[in-house]
Formats: sequence, structure tokens, C-alpha cells
Amino acid sequence: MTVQELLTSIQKKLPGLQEIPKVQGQARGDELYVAVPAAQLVELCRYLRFDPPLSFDFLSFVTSVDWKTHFEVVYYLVSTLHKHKLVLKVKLENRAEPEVPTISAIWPTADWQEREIFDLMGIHFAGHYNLRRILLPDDWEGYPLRKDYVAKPDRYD
Amino acid sequence: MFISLGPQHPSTHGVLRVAITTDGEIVTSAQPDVGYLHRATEKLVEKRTYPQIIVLTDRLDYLAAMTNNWSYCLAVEKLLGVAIPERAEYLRIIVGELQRIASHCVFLGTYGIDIGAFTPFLVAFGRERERILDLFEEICGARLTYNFIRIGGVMADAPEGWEKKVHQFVKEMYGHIDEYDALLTYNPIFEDRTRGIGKMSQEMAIAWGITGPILRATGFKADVRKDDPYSLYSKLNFDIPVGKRGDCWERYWVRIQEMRESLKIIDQVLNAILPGETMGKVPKTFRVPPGEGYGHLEAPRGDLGFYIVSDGSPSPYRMHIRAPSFINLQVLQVLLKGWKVSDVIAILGSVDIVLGEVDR
Repeated sequence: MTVQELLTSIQKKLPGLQEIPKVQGQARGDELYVAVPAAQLVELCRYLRFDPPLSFDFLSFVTSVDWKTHFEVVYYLVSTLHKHKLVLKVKLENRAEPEVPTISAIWPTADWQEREIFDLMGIHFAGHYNLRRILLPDDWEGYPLRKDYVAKPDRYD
Repeated sequence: MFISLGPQHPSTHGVLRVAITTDGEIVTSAQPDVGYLHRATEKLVEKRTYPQIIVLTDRLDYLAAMTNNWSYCLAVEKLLGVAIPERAEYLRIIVGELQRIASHCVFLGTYGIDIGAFTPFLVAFGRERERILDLFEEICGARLTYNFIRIGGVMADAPEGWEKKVHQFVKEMYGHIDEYDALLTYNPIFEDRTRGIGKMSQEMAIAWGITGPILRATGFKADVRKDDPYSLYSKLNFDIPVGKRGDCWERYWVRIQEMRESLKIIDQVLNAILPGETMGKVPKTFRVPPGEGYGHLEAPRGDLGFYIVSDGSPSPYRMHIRAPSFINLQVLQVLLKGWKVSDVIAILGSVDIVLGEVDR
């Protein structure tokens, strides 16, 4: 499917969703970028995964960006059947308690990737069955990938 | 019974711990525990300029540093929009494919040791891989952390006579791979330990985001070099070897076949390569336009990608590494269930992880 066809079939299912337009002078790939509110994420992902003309069966990666005023969770989806790609972005305005529903029930590969984001960026994935720190020790304080993180000096500093 | 395998166990290939519960000899649950080698690469890059980051990528998958450099440079080049000279592209393909062979040689040697065969290690790791490292040392001065592929091209041109040496190596390597087949691939004890063990279906592999030889062993023809061609791979003629059942033996066999395909690629490149520039027009210090870029390629362990968000400053605002080892490792939670304790080592070895990349 082309970018335009992808967008039309997504908007047919969830009419409120909009493409994120490319800003002048900005470098970006030619994938379709769609902004999704956290409340509609699971519904959209189910549709993207199981609708035959879309069948986004491969979740390449999940990551997050700290924009100082808000967080952004980025999902990069690929269909191994139709070879089309899609980038979903979820904006989380609540900096104190950022929360987004888990999609690890749809794509099991999100399991550890969501744990990694929780560990390093402190975003809570509601409904995740095993949301614990993965790379850092369990008693670590703070979330290092946040822009306002202040590293505590240790015995090597 | 509860067994804590690792973090200092030789068969875990680094500092990985797997918490295993067994009922008799059958594994009922397995939970990999990672993070012992975490160095916060994604945070470190936020304080460094773009060219300085290449040395950090060397230290992710330290058995395939060339492809790490390359993947990172692909992402930055997408943001910058620079053109790469043809000779630089060909040199990248030669070192990239040599790196794939060297990495699979390590896999072959260590997998043999895991199963109980010592000779393949001395042959593949101690002989052929050494020769590849000697070739790398000649072209860039380093044997493990190369920093060879730079933004816009490669560090330096190949020295006089290097291509001839690569050609000589490729000619001899075909015979060495036949030797591996005789030593290990069709060895009855090795086949008994690996055939039909740790089977994975195609649907399961795709759902768990598995890439690389493990996905191809399930019979799914997926390779970034064909699906999303980068560099000059669309000009080259090569096959993607695939398995049928997705068991440990086929994961091993796919890698052996891949070594043969890599040799075919290097042969074609050596015929096509011409003298010329090795560096595109990139200034010494530069700012990257704001935006985001995702570059990925087929590393020896799967689809390795770098997602870079730039705010126009000399260092990235955010960089995410799609590490194939990390994503391939999590499937062990379900893959190990139901197999015997002795099979755990065979399955773990066949996934071929590098902890430097898992923990980053």
C-alpha cells in the first residue's frame, strides 16, 4: 500500500487520527508518520495487526524520546507480507506520571523493549505482565535517559 | 528444582544469567537476566559529536564492529543526505561481508565447544578468523574495534596489494567451509544434539521480532540486503539460504551457507571495484539538520538499526539502537520451556548472542 492508501484505511477505522506532516527543512524517512492518542493505541494496533490488507505483523522496535515538556513513544511497524512501513507516535503530556497501554499482547517482541523504556525513561506501560527494571539494578533511583536526570557521583568520580 | 545458569558460566558467552526451574530434567520456566554489561551507550552519545560516536558503536557487538559502524553511519548519512563514492561503498561491502564470515567463525567454534567438539574452535576461530583480522589490521590498524567506516565514506583506502590478499583468502575459504562440514555439520554426535531441538515456528519468530539467521532457519526469506537494499547490494547477485523446521541444526546450517554467499559477494565486488575516492564531501565539523533518521542493515546477528533524533546541534538529541541480540534473546522465555537441561546449552548457543549488544 502507498502512504496515502495506508492513511485512508487508518482514518476509515479511527476518523480522528492525523498524519504528522513533515516540517520544512527537516530530514525524515519516507514512511507514514501517524499521531495516536494513548487511549486509542490498543484499538489501532489490533486493527493494524489483524486486518488482512494491512497485516503489520512485525514490530521492528519501540523507543521513546524525552522532549522536556512531554514524552513521546515511537513504534516502528513493518508488514513482512506487503512490505509497507508505518511509524506511530504517542504523545504523553503528563510528565509526572507518563502512562501508555502495553501492546505486548499483540506483538510479544514489545515485552522487553517496553521494560527497557520503563527502566531507562520511566514510562509506565499499563497492563504489562512483568514491568520490572531490566538493565539497571532493581534499587536504582531515577531514570537515566530523561533529560533532567542528574547522575550521582560514585566512588569512581 | 531451581538452577541459576551463569552469569559466569562458559556456555552463556559472556555475562548472562538464566534463571531456570525444572521438573526432573524438563525445563518448566526460564527467565534470562541481563544488564551485567550495561554501559549506557544511548546516554553517552548525547554528550558526543556525531563522528565521536562511531567508536562507541564498535563496543556494542564486538564480534561485528564493522557492521555496527556501518549501520550508525547509514542513519547519519540519511539525515545529512551525503553521496558516498562508489569505491567507498565497495570497500564497505568487502569489510562487511568479511566481518560476517569472521563472526560466523566465532559462532561455529564456540557452538562446537558448547556441544563438546573442540577442534572446530581451533580451526574456525584460531585459523580463518585470524586471517580476516589480519586483513582488517592491514586496512585500518585495529583487530577488534575498527572505527573504519566513517560518515561519508571509509577511513582510508586499502593499502597496495590488499585486494589481492582478500582474493587469495576467498579462494581458500571455500575449501575451509567444506572442511567445517566434514568436522561438524554432518558429524553424527553433533546432529543428535541439535536436530529437532529448540524448534521455532515462523509465526512465533515474526511475532517475537526475531531477525537474522534464526528467522531464516524457520524458512522465512527475510534479509535487509534484499528487502530494503542499502549500499550497492541491489547490484550484486546472491541467494538467501533458508531452513525448513527452525531447529538448532538449521540455525547453524543457515550460517554456514551464509558464509558461502558472503564469499560470492566479495568475489563479485573484487571484480567490480575500481580506484577512486573513498570519502564523500563531509566537512570536519558539521551540524545535522533537525529531524529523525533510521538506518538499518543486515548484521551477522540480524536487523541492526540506529534511530537518531536530531535537534540541529552537533550531537544527537536521542539515539536508539535496535539491537538484534537483545530482541532475539527474549524469545528464550518461551523457547526453552519443555526441553531438557542439556538442550538448554544447545538452544542458547544457537541463538548466538553478544552480551555487549544485549546490554549496550
